[in-house]
Amino acid sequence: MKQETNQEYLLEIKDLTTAFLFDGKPVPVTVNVSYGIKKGEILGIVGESGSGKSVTVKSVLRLLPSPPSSILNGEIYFHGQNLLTLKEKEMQKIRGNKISMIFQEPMTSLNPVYTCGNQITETIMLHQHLSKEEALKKAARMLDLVGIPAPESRLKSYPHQLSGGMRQRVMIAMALSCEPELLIADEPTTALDPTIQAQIITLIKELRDSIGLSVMYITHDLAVVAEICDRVVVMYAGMVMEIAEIRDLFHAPLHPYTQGLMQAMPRINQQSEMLYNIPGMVPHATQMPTGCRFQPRCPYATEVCSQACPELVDAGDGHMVRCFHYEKLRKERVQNG
Amino acid sequence: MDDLIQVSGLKKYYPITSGVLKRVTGHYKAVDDVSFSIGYGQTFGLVGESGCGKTTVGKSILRLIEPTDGQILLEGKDLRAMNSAQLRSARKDMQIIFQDPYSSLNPRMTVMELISEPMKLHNLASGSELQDRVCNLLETVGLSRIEMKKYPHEFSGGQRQRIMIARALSVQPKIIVCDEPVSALDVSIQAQILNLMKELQQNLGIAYLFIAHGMPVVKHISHQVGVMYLGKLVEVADSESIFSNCLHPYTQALMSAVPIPDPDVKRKTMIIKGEVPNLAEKQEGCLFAGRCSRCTARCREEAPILREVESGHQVACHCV
Repeated sequence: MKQETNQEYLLEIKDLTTAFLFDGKPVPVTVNVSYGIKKGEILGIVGESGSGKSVTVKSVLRLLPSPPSSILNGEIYFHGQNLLTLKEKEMQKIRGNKISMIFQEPMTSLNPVYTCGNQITETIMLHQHLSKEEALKKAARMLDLVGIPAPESRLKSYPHQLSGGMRQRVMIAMALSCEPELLIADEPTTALDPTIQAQIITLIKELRDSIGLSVMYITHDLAVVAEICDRVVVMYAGMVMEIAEIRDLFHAPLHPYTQGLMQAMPRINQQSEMLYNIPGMVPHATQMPTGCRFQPRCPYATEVCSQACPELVDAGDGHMVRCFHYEKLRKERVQNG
Repeated sequence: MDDLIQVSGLKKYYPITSGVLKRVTGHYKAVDDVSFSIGYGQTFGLVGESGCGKTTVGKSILRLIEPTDGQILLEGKDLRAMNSAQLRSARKDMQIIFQDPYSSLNPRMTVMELISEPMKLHNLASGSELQDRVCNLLETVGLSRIEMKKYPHEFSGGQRQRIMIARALSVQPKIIVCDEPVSALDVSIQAQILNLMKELQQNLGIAYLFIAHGMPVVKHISHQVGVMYLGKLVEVADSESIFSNCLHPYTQALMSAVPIPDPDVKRKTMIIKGEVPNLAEKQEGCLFAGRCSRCTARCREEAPILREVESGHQVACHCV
C-alpha cells in the first residue's frame, strides 16, 4: 500500500500474521491480514468462530500472551507509529487511553468485588492523573453519557446489582472514560436480548456522531452489521476475504463465502422452507486446505482454487475481494437482476 | 385430532424466605398461569427476554422442574398425576436439547455410550441391535459411523449439537423441548442444524417446543409462536401473523428491536422505557402497564387475560 492511503487511516493493520503454538510448533491463525479504519468510521469485522477476527484485534492491543502466541509478521500503525515496536510501558499509555476495548461478556469482564465507581475511576486516575474526587465526577458524567439513570448512586453499585444491559453500559462508560479515539467492541451485544442490543447499537452510533469516535465492531451477526457499520471486513479461516462499503457488501457481495453467509441467515421478512447452508465447517488452523481456504466448502470452486491462494484484489471502487471467480458472481447477479 | 401436549394454568412460584426460620414471606412468580397446546408434528416457538420464564416453562413440562400448579396433558394423560415409574416411561416420549453443546455432554463418554444410554435406560435395544441403531441415528443427523468411538471434545459445537439431537431421537420421542438449541452456533452451522430439525420433523413427525430469543430463527422454524413477558403469555398466534401483525404493545416493541439485514432499511426501534416491576411484590393490573405507551387506568387495576381476538390469535391486553 502507498504512503497516501496511510494518511486516511487512524489505525492500519498491514500483513499481520499471528501464530499460536500447536504441539510446540507455531501455526499461523491469521495470515497477512491488512485493513484500516478511518476516523469516525464504524468498521464491521465479520466472520464465524475461528476466523481470526478477535486474534487480529487482540494483536492490535498486544493482549495476547506470548507464548503461546507470537506475531510472525506485520505492522500495526496508529497515528503513524508502529504499535508492535513499542515498549510495554508505552503500550500501556495507549491501551485503555487512546484505544479501548469492550468484550462480549459484561458478566465476566467486571470485577465482582469492586463497585462500578471503583472500576471506572481506576482507569481515569491511571491515565488522566485526576484526583479521586474529580475522577468520581467524571465517572458519573460517563455513566450519564451512556444513558444510565441516577449515575451518582449507580457508582456505588456492585456489578451483580445491575442487569446485563446496564453492565455492558458500564463497560462502555469505562472504555470511553479516557476519551479514546478508537473503540474496539468484540461481540458487545451477542449475549444480550434484542431489546438491549438495540439500545447499545443506538448508543454506539450516537457516540460516533457526537464525539467522532471510531469503532471496530466485531460480530458474526450480519443483521447487526447492516444496522451499524459503514464498511465491513469479512474474514474466514484467518484471512481477509472481502472488504466493502456496507451497501456494496449487502447488495453485491463478491465472495462466495459472504454470499453464503447472507443466504444462511433466516430473515424475519421472508418465508423459506429450508435455509441455504454452507456445507462443512471452518477448518482447524493445523489442517488448512491447499489453495484458497474456502475452496472445500465453495460452490464455485474449480481446479485452480485448490492449486493457488487468490490475492486480495480491488474489484473496483475500493471493493476488495479474495476470489478467482468474483467476476462470475458479479455476472450472475446482473443476469438475475 | 387432539393436541399432543396441552398445558393449562401452569404456575411455578419460588418461595422467598427471610429470617433464620426461613419463613415464607412471598413468592416469586417465575411462571404464572400459562396455557397453550402443541399439535402433533408442530413447532411451538416460545420467545421473550431473558428471565421471562420461557426455560422454566420448558423444564416444567418435562417435570424437570416441579410446577406449583397447573395441568400438563401428554396425549390426554396428566403428567403431574403420574408416579415416578409412570413418569419414567412417559419420558420416552419427551426429550430435551440444551443451548450449550459444550457442557451438556459427559466428556468421559464416547459418542456410542452417549447415544445408546437413553435406549439402555428404556430397555429398547441391546447388543448388536443397539449398535445398529446408533449407526442409523448418527447417519440421520449427518455424522458418520466412524465417529462412534470418539469423545465429545473431538467435535465442534455444531457436531456436538448433532450428537445431542441423535441422543434425543434415540428413544423415538413425540416431542423435543429445544432450549436455545442454535444460539451458541455460527450462522452457517445454525442453518445446518435448523434444516436438520425441519427435515426430522417432516420425516418423523416430531413436535418441538422451541425456546429462543432470536426472532428470525423462531419465525423460520415455528408454526405457532407464544410471547412471554415476566412469567405470563401475552400473545399467541401462528408464526405468520405474529411477525406481520402483532397486536400486543410488548410484542411490537420486541419486534421493532430485531435488526434487519438490509442497510437501506431504516427501522424505528421503540425503546421500552420505565421500570420492570418486581415480581416478588404483589402486582395489580397489567405487568407491562408501567412501560406501555397505551396504558390506561383500567390497565393499572385489572390484569388482562389471554383472549382470542381473531381466529387463532390470542392477546392479553385491554387495548386490543
